[in-house]
Amino acid sequence: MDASKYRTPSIEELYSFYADMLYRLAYSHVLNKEDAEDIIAEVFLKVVKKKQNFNDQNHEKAWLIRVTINTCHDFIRRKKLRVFIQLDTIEDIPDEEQTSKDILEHVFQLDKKYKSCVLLYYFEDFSVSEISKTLLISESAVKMRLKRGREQLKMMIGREENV
Amino acid sequence: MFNKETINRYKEIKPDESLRRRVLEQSVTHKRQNYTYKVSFLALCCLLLFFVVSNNAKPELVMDHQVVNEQSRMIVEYNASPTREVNEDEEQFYQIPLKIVNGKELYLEVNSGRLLLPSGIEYLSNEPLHSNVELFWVIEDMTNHQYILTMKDRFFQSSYIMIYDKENLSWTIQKMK
Repeated sequence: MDASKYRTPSIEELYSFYADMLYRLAYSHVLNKEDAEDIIAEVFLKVVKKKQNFNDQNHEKAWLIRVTINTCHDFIRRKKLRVFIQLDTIEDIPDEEQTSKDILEHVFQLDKKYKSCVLLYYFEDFSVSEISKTLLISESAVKMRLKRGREQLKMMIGREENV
Repeated sequence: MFNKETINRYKEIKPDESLRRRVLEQSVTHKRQNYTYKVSFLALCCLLLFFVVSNNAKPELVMDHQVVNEQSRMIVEYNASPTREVNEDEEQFYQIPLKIVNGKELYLEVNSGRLLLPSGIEYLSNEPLHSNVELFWVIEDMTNHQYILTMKDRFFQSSYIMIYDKENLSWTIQKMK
């Protein structure tokens, strides 16, 4: 689509479209409600400050995800966060659902490099091609990260089962 | 790879409603700040422009940069020896209102001495100016390259017309009866 024809949505619209997904991504990186909120606020402030114009909806979505992930990395680096897994803030999980919580904990513990790919692919239904365009990496790199992410996840689960 | 429960669990992670308010408020605040900065910047530019323009708003008579020591003041020396009446206050300065086309009022200071007009013209009259003389100056920008000054001294009842050629930076003076 021609960039001049695409009307960039207002902040309110952008927030309605993407805030949930971006918040989930941010939360899975910083594992803290307040920090995730700070990151999302920062991302939307960047949109306002840069007066970012998007070529189309895909560009808009990819830009926001990329900026969110980069802001998370910066935030973690800045704060030198030691990421502890604290999923208590996710509502009380019944015992029978404990397994899904554990798996999610493991996903959140993945290396940041693999985590974004795994979350986008398995949880946000992105295709390999979409992830490649969003994170500006090759499709083979995406596949490699997914593979390594799965391996890491298996190792974590296996280690826990052995304990 | 992941069962539905895990995916649902992940999707349950949602921001509070307060985040929406915060994002919208900070957007409005930023826009307001940005607007204020722009207005302030514009005001500053206008102020600077005003100072630049007002500093350059010297009458064009000044461009020959002679005998002018202030933005709105021409100094004219008057050295002619008095003839018919001796003036005791030869050294006195007189301030004579001088109107120019742009509406600003200039003061022509007349010291006893030879009349040196801004461009260096000499007082061509055989009758020297007297310190009691009252000069009335009218400057008209007749064309784009000429100033015409008429001067009348009450004492001698003489009128003079001076034409300043802006292109050649020269004056001519004619006495009128």
